[in-house]
Amino acid sequence: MRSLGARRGILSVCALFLAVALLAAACGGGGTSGGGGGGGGGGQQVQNGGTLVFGAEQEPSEGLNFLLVCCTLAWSVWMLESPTLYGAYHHLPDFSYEPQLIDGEAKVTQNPFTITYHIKPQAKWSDGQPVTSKDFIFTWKTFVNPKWQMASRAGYDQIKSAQAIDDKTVKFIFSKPFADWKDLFEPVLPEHVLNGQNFNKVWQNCICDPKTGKGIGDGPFVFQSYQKGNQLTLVKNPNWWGSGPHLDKIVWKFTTDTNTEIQQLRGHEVDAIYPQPQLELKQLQSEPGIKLTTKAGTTYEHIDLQQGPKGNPLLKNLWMRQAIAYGIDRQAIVNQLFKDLSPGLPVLNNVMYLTNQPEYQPHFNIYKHDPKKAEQLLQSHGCKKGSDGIYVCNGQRASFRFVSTSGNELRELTFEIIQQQLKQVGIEVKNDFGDPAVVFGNKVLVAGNYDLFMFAWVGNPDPSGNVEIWKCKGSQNFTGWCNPKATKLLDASQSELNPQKRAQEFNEADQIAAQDLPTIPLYQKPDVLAYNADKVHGMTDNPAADGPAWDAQNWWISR
Amino acid sequence: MTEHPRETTREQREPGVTRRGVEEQQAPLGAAGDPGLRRAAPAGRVQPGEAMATASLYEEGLEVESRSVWRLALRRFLRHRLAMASLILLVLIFLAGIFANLVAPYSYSQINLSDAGLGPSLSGYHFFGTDDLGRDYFSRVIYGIRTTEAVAIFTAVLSVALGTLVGAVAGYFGGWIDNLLMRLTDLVLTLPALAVLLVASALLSTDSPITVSFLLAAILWTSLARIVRGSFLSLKENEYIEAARASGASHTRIILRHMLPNSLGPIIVNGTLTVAVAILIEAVLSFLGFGIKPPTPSLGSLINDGKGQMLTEWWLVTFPGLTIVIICLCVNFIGDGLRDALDPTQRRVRA
Amino acid sequence: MGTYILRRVLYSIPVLIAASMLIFFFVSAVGDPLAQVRAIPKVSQETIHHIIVRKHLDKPLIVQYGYWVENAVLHRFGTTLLGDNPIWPDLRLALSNTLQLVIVSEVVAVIFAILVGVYSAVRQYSAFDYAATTFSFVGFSTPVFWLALILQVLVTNIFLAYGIRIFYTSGFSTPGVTGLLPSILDRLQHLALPVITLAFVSIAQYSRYLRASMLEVINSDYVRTARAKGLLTRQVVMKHALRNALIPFATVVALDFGAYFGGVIVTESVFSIPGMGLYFIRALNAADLYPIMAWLIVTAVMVILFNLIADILYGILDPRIRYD
Repeated sequence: MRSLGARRGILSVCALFLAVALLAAACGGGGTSGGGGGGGGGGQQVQNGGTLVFGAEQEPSEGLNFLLVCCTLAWSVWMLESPTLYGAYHHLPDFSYEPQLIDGEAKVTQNPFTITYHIKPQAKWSDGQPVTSKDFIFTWKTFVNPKWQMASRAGYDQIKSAQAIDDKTVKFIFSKPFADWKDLFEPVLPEHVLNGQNFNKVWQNCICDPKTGKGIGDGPFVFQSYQKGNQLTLVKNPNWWGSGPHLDKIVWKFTTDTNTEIQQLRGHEVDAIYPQPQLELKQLQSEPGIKLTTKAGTTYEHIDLQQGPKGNPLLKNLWMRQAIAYGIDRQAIVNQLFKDLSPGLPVLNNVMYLTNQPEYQPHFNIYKHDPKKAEQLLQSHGCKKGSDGIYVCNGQRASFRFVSTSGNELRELTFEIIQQQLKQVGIEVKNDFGDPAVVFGNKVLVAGNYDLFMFAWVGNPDPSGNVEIWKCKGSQNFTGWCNPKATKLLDASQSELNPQKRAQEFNEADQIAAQDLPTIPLYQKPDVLAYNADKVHGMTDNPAADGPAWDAQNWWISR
Repeated sequence: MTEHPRETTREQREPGVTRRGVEEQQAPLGAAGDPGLRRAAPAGRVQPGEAMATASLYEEGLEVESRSVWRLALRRFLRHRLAMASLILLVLIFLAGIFANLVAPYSYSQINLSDAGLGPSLSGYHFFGTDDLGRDYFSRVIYGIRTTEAVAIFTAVLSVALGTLVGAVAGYFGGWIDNLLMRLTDLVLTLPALAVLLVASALLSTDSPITVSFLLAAILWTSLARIVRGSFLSLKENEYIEAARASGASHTRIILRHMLPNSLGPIIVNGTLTVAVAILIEAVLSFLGFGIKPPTPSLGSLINDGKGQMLTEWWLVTFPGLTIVIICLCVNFIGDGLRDALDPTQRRVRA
Repeated sequence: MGTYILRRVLYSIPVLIAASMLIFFFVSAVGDPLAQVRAIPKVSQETIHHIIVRKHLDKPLIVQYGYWVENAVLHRFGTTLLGDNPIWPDLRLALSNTLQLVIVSEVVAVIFAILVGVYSAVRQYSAFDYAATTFSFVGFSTPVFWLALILQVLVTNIFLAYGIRIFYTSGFSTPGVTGLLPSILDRLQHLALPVITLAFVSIAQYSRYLRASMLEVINSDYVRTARAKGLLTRQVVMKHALRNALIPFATVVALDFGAYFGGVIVTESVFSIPGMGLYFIRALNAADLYPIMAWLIVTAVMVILFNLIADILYGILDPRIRYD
C-alpha cells in the first residue's frame, strides 16, 4: 500500500529507512531552554492545559522499548524517547550536541580514554527519585548484557570499567578511544525501576515502573497508556525539574496512510502530523489555518552502483559509472519532486556529512548534468550506439537493472525521470522495483544482486555510521567498493578525538568516494511538520533525528 | 442420479456462493442468476426454446439443433438493448486501448515538466489534464486501458480454460479424481484471495501483465470449475451420452463434442464477468502498490498515483476511476444479457 | 447431521495443511525477515545471530515448518520474529475489531438489501426497480478503494464547510471519550465510512440476489395458488415469498461473513482500522512468517467455519434438505 501500510509504501518504507537512528535519537530540550515556553507563541499569551493529538505514521506494534532490535522505529524514538527519557546529550536542530542531563560538558581524557559526567543536581525521575551515577552505570551494563536484544551496542562494548565518584558524578574508562562518544547514554535508564527486570520484556507495552504500572521518565512528559492499534498517551511529568510543560497530555494517534493523515489534519481530527515526505502533502500548503514546515532531514536518498560479481560487469569500469553520473540531472530531479513541498531543497554532494552540517563539503558536485560528456565517455571507450539508441560496449549493452522499493511514489517518479534522462545519453535502465522485504533482503541488497539500487540511509549528525557502509568488506558495504586508502581514513576516524582532524578524515574519504563513484547521492528527504496553526503553538521540528517532540515542554494550545 | 443429494444442493447454490476473499470487490460472478432488465418471459420458467432444443437434440441429431439454439440465443441477446449498447461502447473503449499509439495524442511516458499539473482542457489535447511530471493524462488513461484490458482478457481466458478443464475432468470422471480436484478447489476458495495475491506479487516482483494475469487466473478459476462440474454431472446421465459411450467414442471426443457444447452458456457468461472481476482486482493490487510496475500505466496504478493530489488535482483520480467503472458496467451488462440469452437455466427456482 | 459436520471438518484439515505449507514455503523462500534489521546503522551482529538461532532460521525449511507447526499447535502460534511477542493476543484483538466492523456492515447491508430487494421484486419493472438495478450494477463495478478515497474527502469537506462532524475519516476512537453511550456513539462515527464502503457492494449484491429469489417464489405455482385463493398480496409476499427467498439469502450472508475476515485489507488500510487487514499488511511488510501464517490459518478457519454454518443453516431453514 503505497501509503497503506500498508503496504502501502509508508509502512514498509519508513520501517526500514527510518529504522533507527538509535544513537542519534536524543531527547527533548528542556533543561536549558528555560523561560516558560516563549517559543513560537507569536506574541500570544501562553495558555496551560489541554490535550494535543498528534498523528503518528508508525505504530511500534512489536513493543515500545526502542532500544531493542525489534522496536527501533524512528517513530518510537520521536514519540517516547525525546519527550520522556533524557540522555547525557541531545541534538539541537542545527545538528550540534547540547548537554541535557549533565551539568556542562563531560570531561574527557586520553590515554586511557575516560569520560566523566556531572549529573545535574536537580535532575530526577517522575517518581521523585534523583537521577544518579547508578543509573548511568546500569545503562552501560544493560547495553552490554548479551541476554538483551539491543539494536546496537556500539561504544558501550568499548567501556572497560565504571566508577561512581559520588551520587552525581560518574567516570567511564574505555579500552580504546571512541570518537562518537557524545551519542552514548541516550537515554539513561532508571536503575531503581529496571534493576532485576527482564529488559527484553519489561517495556513491551509501557515505559513504566513494572511494580506500579505507572509511567517513568525524566523528561517533561511520561508514558500514561497505550491502546494497541489506536493511540499512545503521554501525561505531564508531576516531578518535572525543568520549565513547562504547558500541555496536560499528548496523544499519539496511529494513522499509517499519508492521505488519510491529510484528511485528519484538515478535519481537525488531529492537531499535527509529521509524515514521510509524500507529494500529496503539497495539498496542505493551500489549506487555510495549516502551517507546513520542511527541513532537510537526516535520511538521504542515493543510488548505489554495484561493482561486485552479481552486477553488470560494465559497472566495474569507472568511465561507465561516470557516464551514468553525468547523464543524471540531480538538480532537475530535486526541483521536480520538491519544488512545491520543499522549495530550495539542496542536492546532496557528500555521503559522510549532510548539507546542514558545518563539516559538509560538496565533493560530488563535480558531476553536473552533462549529457555530451557522458556520451563522449562512452564513445571514447569503444561503445557504439545500437539501432535502438542504446550504446553497446565490448559486446555488452549499456542496459541496467534499477532496483528500488515498490509502492513509494517519490521513488517511482525519480526512476521515471532518471530513465528518461539516461535514455538521452544512450543508457537504458529497467524497472526492477520490488517489495522492501525482498529487495532489502539477503537475496538482493545484501547479496549485491543488482546493478543500480536507489534507497535511503538513515543518517546521523555524527558520521560514524558510515564507516561500515564504505570501508572494504564493511558489514553494510553492499556495493562491493573497496578502496584501501578510504578504508584507512575511515578506520582512523573511529578513534580520532580531535573533531577537526576527524572531519578531515571523513571528508578525504568522501572525496575518494566521489572519484570512485560507488554511489550517487541525491538529496536529503525533507522532514515535514504540519500543524493547525490556529490551535498549536511553540512547535518546531528537530531534523537532527530527534523529531518534533524534542522540546514538547514548549508546546501549548489555544483553548 | 448417482450424485449425493447434499452436493446437488451445493451445486445449485453455487452461483450465489460469493467470495469475499477477493476483497470486498465482487462482481456478480454468476451471482444470483438475476434476470436483470429483461422484459421477456417471466423468470423461473423453463424457456420453451431450451426445452425444445433438449428434446429435439435427441431426435434430430446435434448439428442442426445446436445451431438453432445458438441462433435463438443470439436473437435474445440482440434484443437486450442495454447489453448491446454496452457491447458497442466496450468495443470502442477496448479498440482505443489496442490502438493506443494512434488514439493517444502523447506518449504515456513523455515527461514535459513545463506542463505539469494542468487541469483538463481542450487546448493541447489535455482532455484529462496532466500529472506532476507533465505527462498527458488522457494518453496515460488510454495506455492504462491497454494494460488493463490485456490483463483482464488474458486472465479471463486463462481462468476459463483452467476452470473448464478442472470442472470437466472432475464432473466427467467422478470418483477419486473428482474428490481430489474438488479438494483443490476448496483449497483455493479457503485461502483469502487478496492476501495470497499480495504475498505472491510482493515476492515474485511481478511486472508484466502476463504474470499478473497468471496470478489472477490462479485464484479466479474455481467458481467456473464448480459450475462446469455440476453441468457435467447432470449431462453425464443423459441417454445420448450413454449412447455415445456405448458406440465407442473416446473420453476426449465425448467431452469435447457432446458435453462441452451443452455447458458453453455458463462458461461464456462466467468468462465475461471474469473480465470485470479481473479489472477490479488488478486495480486493488495496483492501488496497494503491487501489480503492474511504472512507468507502464494501468488504470489502478493511475488512481494510486493520483490519490495524493485529490484535493488539488482531482482529475488524476477521477478519470481513471470513472474509466474502470464504465468498463466494468459495460462488462456486467453484457454478462447480464448473455446470461439471459444463453443460460436461462440459471434462473430456475433454487430451493 | 452430526456425521455430515464431522466429515466436513475432516475434509478441511488436509486443506488447511496444504494451505499452510504452500504459504510457508513460498514466503520463506523469497522474503528475508531480517531485511529491516540489517539496514539499522551500527546494528549489533550479536543480536542478529541471537534471532537466527532463536527462530531456527539457519535450519532447513522443512525443519522450520516443523517448528512452526509445533508453535501453532502448542503455543497459540508462537511469537513474532524480532520482538518475541506472543502472536495470539494481538491477532485476537484484530479479530474482535474486524468483527465489530463486519457485524455493523452486514446488519446495514442486510436491512437495506431486504428493503430494496423485496420492493423491487414486488414492483418489478417500476422506476424504483430500475433505479435499484442501476445502483446494483454500479456497486458491482466500482473499485472499493476509489469510493473510500472519495468518501474521505467528501466528509472532510462537509466538516470544513459546515463545521459538523458527522463521521470520522479514519481510526477507531477519539482520545478522551469516556462513558458507555458516548463511546458507542464515537465508535459508530468512526465505523461509519468503512461500513458504507463495505455495505455499498454488499447491498448491491444482496438486493439483486433477494430480488431474484423473490421473483422466483412469486412466480411459482404455489404462490399463484395462494393468490388465486384470494389471499392478500401483502400477506403472500411476507408469508410465502419473503420467507422462502430468505433461505438461500441467509446462507449467502453466512458465507460472506466468514470471507470478510480475510477480505477487508483495503478498507481497513484506507480507514486505519486496527483489524485483520491492517494486521496482515503489517506482518507482510515485516516479512515475519509466524504472524502471516497465523493470520492465514485464522482467516481460512473463518471461511471453513462459516461455510459449515451456511450449510447447517440451509438444512435448518429448508426442511426438504437432509444431510446424511
